[in-house]
Amino acid sequence: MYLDHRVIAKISQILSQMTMQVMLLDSNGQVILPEDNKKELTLPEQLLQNPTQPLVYGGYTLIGTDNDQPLFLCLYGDNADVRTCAVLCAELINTFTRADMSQNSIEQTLRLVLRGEVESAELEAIAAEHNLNMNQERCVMYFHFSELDAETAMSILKNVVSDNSQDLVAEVGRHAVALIKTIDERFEFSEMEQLANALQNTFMSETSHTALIGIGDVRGKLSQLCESYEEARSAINVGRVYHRKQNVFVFRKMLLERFLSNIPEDTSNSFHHMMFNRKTARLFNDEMIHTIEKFFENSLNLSETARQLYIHRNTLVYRLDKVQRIIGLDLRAFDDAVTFKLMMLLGKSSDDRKGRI
Amino acid sequence: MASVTLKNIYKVYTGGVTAVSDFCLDIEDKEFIVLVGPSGCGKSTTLRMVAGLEEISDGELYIGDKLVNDVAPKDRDIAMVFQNYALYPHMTVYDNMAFGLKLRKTPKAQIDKRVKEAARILDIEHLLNRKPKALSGGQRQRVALGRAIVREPKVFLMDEPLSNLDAKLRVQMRTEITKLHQRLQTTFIYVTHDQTEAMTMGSRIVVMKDGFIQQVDTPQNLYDYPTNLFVAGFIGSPQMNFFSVRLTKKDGAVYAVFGDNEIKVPAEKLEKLKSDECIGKEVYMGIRPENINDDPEFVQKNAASAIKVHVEVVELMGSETYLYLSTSGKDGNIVARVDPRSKSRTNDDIVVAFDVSRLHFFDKDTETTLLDR
Repeated sequence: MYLDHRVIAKISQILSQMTMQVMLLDSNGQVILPEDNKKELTLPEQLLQNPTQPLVYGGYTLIGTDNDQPLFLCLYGDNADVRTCAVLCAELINTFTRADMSQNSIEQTLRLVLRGEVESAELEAIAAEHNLNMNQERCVMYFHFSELDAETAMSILKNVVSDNSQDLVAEVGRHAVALIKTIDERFEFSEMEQLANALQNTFMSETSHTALIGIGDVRGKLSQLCESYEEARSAINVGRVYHRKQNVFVFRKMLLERFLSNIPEDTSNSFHHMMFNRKTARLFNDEMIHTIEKFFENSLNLSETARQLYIHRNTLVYRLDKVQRIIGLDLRAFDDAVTFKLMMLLGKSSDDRKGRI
Repeated sequence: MASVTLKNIYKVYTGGVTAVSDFCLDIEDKEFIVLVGPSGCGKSTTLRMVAGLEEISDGELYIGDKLVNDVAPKDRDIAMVFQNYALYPHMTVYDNMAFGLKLRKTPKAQIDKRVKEAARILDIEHLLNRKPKALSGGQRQRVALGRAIVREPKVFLMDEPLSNLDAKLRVQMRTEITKLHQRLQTTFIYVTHDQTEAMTMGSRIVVMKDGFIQQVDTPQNLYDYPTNLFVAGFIGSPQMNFFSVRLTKKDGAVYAVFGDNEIKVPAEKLEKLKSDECIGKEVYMGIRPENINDDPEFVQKNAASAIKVHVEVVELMGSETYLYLSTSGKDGNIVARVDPRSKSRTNDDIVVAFDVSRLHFFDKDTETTLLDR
C-alpha cells in the first residue's frame, strides 16, 4: 500500500497520541514512522502469513493493519496492554487509510491509472468524475530522488504546472513523483527533455538534490498511460547503466541501450572480453578510454576532440594509430568506430548500477 | 555583494576518492574569479560546494563573514547559472525569469520590478513575451543569466555556462558576461575548462589539477610566471614547448644542451635561478611558440640561441603562421608562432632562434619553476 505524505502526517498525528512509542513499517520492513528512523527490519515469516494476528518477537509486539496490503506496527513490550494497544492502533490506521482511499482523490486515481490497475469501464467513470479527457495525447515524466521527499518535489512541480490545468502530478513513491504532461500544439514532445533539464536545475538550486528523470513515450488514451509510465521508469533503469553522468533519460532515444540490455549477460561479457582483456588492459587505460569517448562524442572529429582534450592533433592521431595497431580497428572509420562503441557499451551492462529503481 | 573565503576545504566521496584537497582561497568582494583545469580536476566540485550542492567534507566556507557550511543552498544568497541553461519551454521569458522568485513567494510587484530591471540590463526587454523556442542560443543564454540576476544574489556562480554554445557565440557571450560583471559589481565565480575563457574573463584565475590548486594569479602573471610545468603547459595556445635539457657550464657561460643543440642561457636569467644546484643537471626548459623566430635578421642577432630544425607542417592562420618543427634531442614537434610573411615551407631545413629572455626552467623531479619572478 502506498501512502502519500498527507496520510503519513495524519497517522503520525494518531500515533503521537499514544503513551508508548509505535513504529510504522511498510511491507518490506522499512520504517515509515518515526521519519527520522531510517532502519529496515526483517519481518518474521509468521507475521507476513497472518498479518492481523499480533506476534511477539524479540521483546516487541508486531501486527499488520490488514490482510491484503498491510502496513505493520512495532511496539516495544509484550504484555497484554501492549497487545491491546497494537490491535487498536492497527484497526484505527486501517479504517483511516481505507476511508481516505475510498474518497478516490485525483492523486489516488492517477496512481491506479499509472499502475494499470483500473478496468476500462471503471476508468471512464473516474475520468468523467475528475473531468479527464480519455483521448488526449499525454506522456509521463517520472522523477526518482535518492533523498528528497516526494512532498517537496510535488510542491515545486505544482508551481510548474499551475498555468496549465491539463497537466497532472502525483506522488508515486516516498521519493518518486510522476508528471503527466499533455502534448498538444502548445507543447510538443520534443520539449520534454528541455522541461526535464529545467526542472532538474530548479530542484538543484532550491533543494540541492538531483533527480533521475525518465520520459516515456506519448500515448493517445488515458488507459494507455500506464505504458508511458513503465517506459519512463525503464528509461531510468536502462539509461543509468550506460550513461553514468546523465540524469535525464528519454525512452524513445534509447533504442541501442534497450537492445544491449536485452543481450544475456554471459554473451555480453564474452564479446566485451574479446576486446577488453588482460592483453589490452595497458592500452585501454583511463586516459585512452577518455580520449576515445571524447572522440565519439565529437562525431569522430579529430581537431575538435584534440581541442577539447588540450592535446595536439598529432597526439590524438598517434593514440588512434596505436589502437589500430594493437586491436586492428581504425576508430576514424565509421564501421570500426561502431564496433568499438558496441563492445565498450557491452561492458557497462554488467556493472554495479544495474539495480532497478 | 560579498567576499567568499574557502579555508582548507576538502571533498572526499564515500569510498575514499578525494576530489578536492586543502583548497584555500580568499575571493574579494566584486572580484571575477575563474576556476580552470582539465576535466576531473575538482573545479566544478568546488563550485558546487560553494553553492551548497555538494557537502563539504572538511574545512570552512564563508560568504561575507558568515560560515555557511550547513546553510541550505536557497539560503546562501547565491545564484547559479548551469551549463545547460535549460529554460521552461512552456513559459514565456518573463515567467522563466520570474519563476525562482515565485517559488520563494516574493510579492508580485517586486517580481515585476526585478524582472524588468534584469531584462533592461541584458537588453532583452523586447523578448519578455516570447517562448524559448522563439529565441536564438545567445538570447536563451541571456535569459538564463536573467534568472540569476533577478535574485539579486551576493555571489554569482557559473558552471561552464558557455560550453553548449557554438564557437562564435561563445566569444560574443564572453564579452557579454564580462560587461555584466562590470555593470552588476558583484562577486562572480566562474568555472571553465577553456583556458582562453579563463584568460579573457577572470580578474584572477585559479588553476587546478587533481583536486589541488596549482596557482592563483592574474592572467598575465600566470602566462609570464607559471609556477610549475602543468600551469606552463595548460595556459597558452598553442601550448609552451618543453625540452629536456642539461644545464652545462662552459667557458664561464651556461648552456642548455639537448641533442646536438646548445642554447646559451643569458646572465639575467641565471640571476633569477633560485639556486645554482641545477647547473650540471637535467631540467625542463620551456619556451612559448611566439618566442621562437625564423626571421633571418632575428636569427643572425641571436646566433647563441639558434638551432637547426626541419619544417614538418606549416599552418597559415591569416594573422600568424604556426610552424611544426623537428630537431635532434626533442621528441615530438616544436611549435613556433611566426610572422605570416615567413618564407618557411613544409620540408625546408631552416634555422630558428629562441628569445632567451623568455626561457622558463622547471625542476625535473618536482616540476616546479626554478626561476624567481
